[in-house]
Amino acid sequence: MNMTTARPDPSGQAVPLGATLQLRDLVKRYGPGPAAVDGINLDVAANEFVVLVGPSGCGKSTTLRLIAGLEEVTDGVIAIAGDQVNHLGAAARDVAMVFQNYALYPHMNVAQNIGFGLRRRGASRAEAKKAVAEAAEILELTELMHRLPGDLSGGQKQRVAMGRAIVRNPRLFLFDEPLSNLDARLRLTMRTEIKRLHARVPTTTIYVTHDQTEAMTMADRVVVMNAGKIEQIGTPMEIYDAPVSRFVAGFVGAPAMTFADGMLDDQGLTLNTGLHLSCTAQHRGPVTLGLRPEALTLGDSGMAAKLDMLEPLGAETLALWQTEALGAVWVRMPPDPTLRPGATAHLQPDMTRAHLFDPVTGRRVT
Amino acid sequence: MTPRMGDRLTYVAGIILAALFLMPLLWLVSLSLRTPAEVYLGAARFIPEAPTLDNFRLILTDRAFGTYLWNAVKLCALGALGAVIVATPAAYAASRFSFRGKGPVMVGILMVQMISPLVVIIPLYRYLDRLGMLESHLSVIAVYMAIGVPLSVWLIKVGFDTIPKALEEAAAIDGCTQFEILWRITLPLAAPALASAFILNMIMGWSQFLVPFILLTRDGQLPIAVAIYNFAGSSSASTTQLLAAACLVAVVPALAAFLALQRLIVRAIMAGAVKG
Repeated sequence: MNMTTARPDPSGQAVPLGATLQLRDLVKRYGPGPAAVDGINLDVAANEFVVLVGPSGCGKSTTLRLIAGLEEVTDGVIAIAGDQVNHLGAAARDVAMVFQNYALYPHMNVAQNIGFGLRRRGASRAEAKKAVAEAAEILELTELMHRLPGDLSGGQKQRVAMGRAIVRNPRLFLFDEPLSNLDARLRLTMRTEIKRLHARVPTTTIYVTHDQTEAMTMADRVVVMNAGKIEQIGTPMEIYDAPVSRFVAGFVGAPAMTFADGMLDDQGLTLNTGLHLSCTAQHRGPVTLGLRPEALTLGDSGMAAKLDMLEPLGAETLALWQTEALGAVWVRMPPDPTLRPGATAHLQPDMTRAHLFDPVTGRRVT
Repeated sequence: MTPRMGDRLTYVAGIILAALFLMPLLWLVSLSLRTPAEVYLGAARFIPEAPTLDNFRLILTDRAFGTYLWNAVKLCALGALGAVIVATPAAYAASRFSFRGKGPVMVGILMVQMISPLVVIIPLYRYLDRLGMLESHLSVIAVYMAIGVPLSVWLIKVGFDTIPKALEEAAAIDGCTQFEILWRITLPLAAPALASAFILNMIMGWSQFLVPFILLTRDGQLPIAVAIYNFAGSSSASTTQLLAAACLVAVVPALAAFLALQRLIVRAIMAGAVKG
C-alpha cells in the first residue's frame, strides 16, 4: 500500500506529500560487541519533523544511514509509506539527505549540484532547470548558480546541500548534523531557515543532532537515544517536563538538571545530606531527586546557599549557588544587578516541579 | 660551520651534480649543431663556429625517423593508458573496500615494482615466443602495462583516498548506480591522480630501451630509442651530428612533458602525505 498522497502546487503539478516512516525492531551490528542500533521502534507521521538526539555514539547517525539505505540492516524492518524498503538501495528509496560536511560535488557548480539528482532520475534538461531555479529562489541561491562549492561560504554550502535535497520533492528528508560545522550565529540563522523551509515545503523530516537546543527548538517530536536504544519519544515539552529517565533528564535542558540521592518514606523525602523535603510521591525507598534551574527560587527559608558565579543572559540570569544539601546548583533568576558572587541566601525547591528517579534503573518514579 | 657556509657548500655540491648530468646533454647539443667537418674537432670546438640546424631538418624530414618516433609514442601512450585502466579498479578496491589480507596485497603490488625488467626479460621473451606474440607492438604494450601497473595502483589509490566517501553516498542518494558513481563523481575527482599516473607511465615507457630491443627486431616496428641505437651501431662517425640531433629530438618530449607537468605529478604523489 502506498500512503503517499499528492497535493497540487501553484504550478499545477502534483507534488507528493512526505511519506510515513516506520522502524520495527531495527538492529545494526558492525561486529561482536554491543549493537550500534539495538532494536528501535519508531513511527513518523507524514510531514512530521522528528529530531533524533543523543550523545555521540548513541546510534542516531547510524539509524539515519539505515533509513537512507547507506548501511545494511542487520535485523528489523524499515518501511517508507507502508512499503518495506530493507532490500532497496539508497537510489531506490527516494529520500534526500543533507550531510554534516555538505558533500557537495566539488567539480560541479551550484546549479549542477542541485540538479544532479533530478537528471539522474530521468528529468529532462528543461525540467531540471526549472526545478533548480525554483529551489534556488527559495534558498536565495540564484546569484550563486555558477559558482563552484570551493568558492562558497559555509552557510552557502549548507543552503546548496538543502537545495539538492528539496529540489527532488523526496518522500523523506534526512539531515545528519547539518549545522555542526557552522559558527554559532550562522547555526541560529540556519535553524530558523530549516524550520521555515519545512513550513513552506512540508516533507517528512528526520533530523539528527547532538545539540539538545537544536532538538528542542526544531522538532515536532524529539527522539532521545542512548547506547543504541530509544530512551524517550515525545514533544519537546513532554521531554522537558516529564523525562522518563535520569539520562533524558540530564541530557535535555541547559543548564543541566541537578541531582541528589535520598530516601522517600511516609514523612517525605530525606536527602543523604540530611535535608528534608515534603513530597507527595507514592513511591517508597531510595530515589534520585532531580531539580531544573527553574524549580529553585530564592526565599527566606530553605537551603543555605552562597553565590558562586553569575551568567547574565540579558532577559534572565543564570546563577550557580553552592549549597550543602545539593552541592552546586544552577538557578534561573530574573536579572538582579545587586547580586554579587559571595552573596548568601536561601533556596527553596519547588517540589511540584521536582523529578524523581530510581537510583538503580534510572527510570522515573511517581 | 655558519649557516651561510653551509648554504655555499650546498650550492657547490648542487652545481657539481648539475654539471655531471648536464654535460652529456650539452655535449649532445654541441654535436647536433655542428657541420660534419666540425665533428672531427671534438671537445676543442665545444661551441661550434658555424652552428647549423641542418641536422635537425634532416632528421625531422626523414620518413623512417618519423615512423620510429610514432612507434615510441604509440607504445608509450597505449602502455600508459592500459596501465591506468587496469590499475584504476584495483586502486578503487584498495581505497574503498576492506578485505582480508589487504595490507600484504598492497605491499606485494609494490614489491612487483622493485623487480627489474632485466631479471624477467629472458623468461618473458620465451613466454611471448611460445604465445607467438614476438615482433608485435601488443607484446611490448603489455609489458609496459605490467611495469606501470604497481606504481599506478598506489598513486591512484592515494588519489581515491582523498575523495570523501560522503560524496559517493550523496550520489547514491541522488539516484546513481555504483557504476554511475564511479564514472560521474569519483573518476572526475581523481583526474589529477589518473593524469599523473598516465604521464609518469609515459615517461617511464619513453625511457624504455631493453624491452622493445629484445621483443622487436623488424625495423618498421622499432621505437626511437632502439632505432637510434641500431643506427649508431651501423654508422660511421660522419653521421655523429645526425645521431646527436636524433637523440635530442627523442629526449625532448619526455623532458618537456615532465617539466610542464611536474607540479601536477608532485601534487599527486604528495596527496595524502600530509593530512589536513
